[in-house]
Amino acid sequence: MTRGVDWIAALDELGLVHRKEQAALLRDAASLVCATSRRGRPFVAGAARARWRQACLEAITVAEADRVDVEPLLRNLAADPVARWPAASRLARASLALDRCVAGSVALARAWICENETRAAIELLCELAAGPPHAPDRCDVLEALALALESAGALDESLDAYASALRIPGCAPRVAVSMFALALRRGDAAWIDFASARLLDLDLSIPGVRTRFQVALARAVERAVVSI
Amino acid sequence: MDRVSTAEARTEPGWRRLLCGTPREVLARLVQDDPLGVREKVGARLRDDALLLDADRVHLRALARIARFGNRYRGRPELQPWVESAVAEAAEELLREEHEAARARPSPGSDRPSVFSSLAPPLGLEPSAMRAACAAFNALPCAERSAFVDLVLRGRSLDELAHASGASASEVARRARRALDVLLAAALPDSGAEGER
Repeated sequence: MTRGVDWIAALDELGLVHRKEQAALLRDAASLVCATSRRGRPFVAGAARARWRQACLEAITVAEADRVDVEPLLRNLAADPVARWPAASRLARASLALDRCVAGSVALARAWICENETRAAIELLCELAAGPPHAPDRCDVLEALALALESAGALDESLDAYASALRIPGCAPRVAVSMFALALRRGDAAWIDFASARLLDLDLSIPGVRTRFQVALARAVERAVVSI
Repeated sequence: MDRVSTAEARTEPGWRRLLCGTPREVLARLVQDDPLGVREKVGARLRDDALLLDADRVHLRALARIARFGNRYRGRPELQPWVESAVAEAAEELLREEHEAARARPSPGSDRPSVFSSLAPPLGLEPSAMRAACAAFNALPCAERSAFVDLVLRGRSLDELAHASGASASEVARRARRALDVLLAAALPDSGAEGER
């Protein structure tokens, strides 16, 4: 065997990889449920359900072949339409039970936002955002916090959170779009400039980029109609 | 056990034989003589990115990820870049987990020792604090990590590093100092070490 590779430790690690995969599938399932509400749509790409089901069935098959436990919820989700799935927060909690991580906590917070539990979401996200400034997933935390604050009507605080997210290198353009739409609603010239500056690099002559921009803008405006 | 030699694994029939079957079966082949050269790639990754991560853990995670997701490999990209991407994903996952563990801040003494505990005495730190310190260090920009690792851990000279990086010697020293400050601040959260930056 390779120097230092302990077969039992390798098997344990494989079990961990299976559990993490199942947790990620539950997080994605929570996002799919969230996507049925207006506040949750920014987080889900189109045609995700078919890909999700395929990935879920494959994950179940290989976990069973390796004699690794399969989270019972996953079996039901694979068989049922999204409309019959449990609440997004329940799926996110099941994900956290398998893999306690920031991504799981963000999924739970997003679920709460969509279930109108914005106060709980803000508390959880503020706790996560209080961590070190270079933390991985920080952009997702701040984007979700901005959305939670926007949903709660704390628009200035929401703009601050969007701006903090945008200062992180690699932050998705959809965050700038959401911030831009909110800044326009507030009529805040400084934040309009800040958000639009982050959109300058987008080449809207490229059909895919233009489509994603239009979809993100439509969702941000749609969300504004709900939260005003 | 189905043995595939390292050279054979790099040819198409070789990788097909190596990556077929259940993840457990694939894993059993991967731990035999490391036919994909995963350990070497882990070392290169940690060295190139100047990461203070336990190479054994990254190796195990990479093996497990290759075993699990090998059934999705169809020959593109080339096998070696695909293995390198699996190593990169394993390192990324562990960075997140280390960060999460450090954020949870377990009570003193309850944390398991870090593989970098030996760094603690020269820095005047408690070995038990090194896990949180390494997590904070690994979240720094690569230029700062590299400056610290090259200057402090590998013992390269300031002039040599300045020449290699194209930055001034004082800039390289500043980067290393910032990395040191972050290590100290994470290990001694009440010391205000980061405030000196």
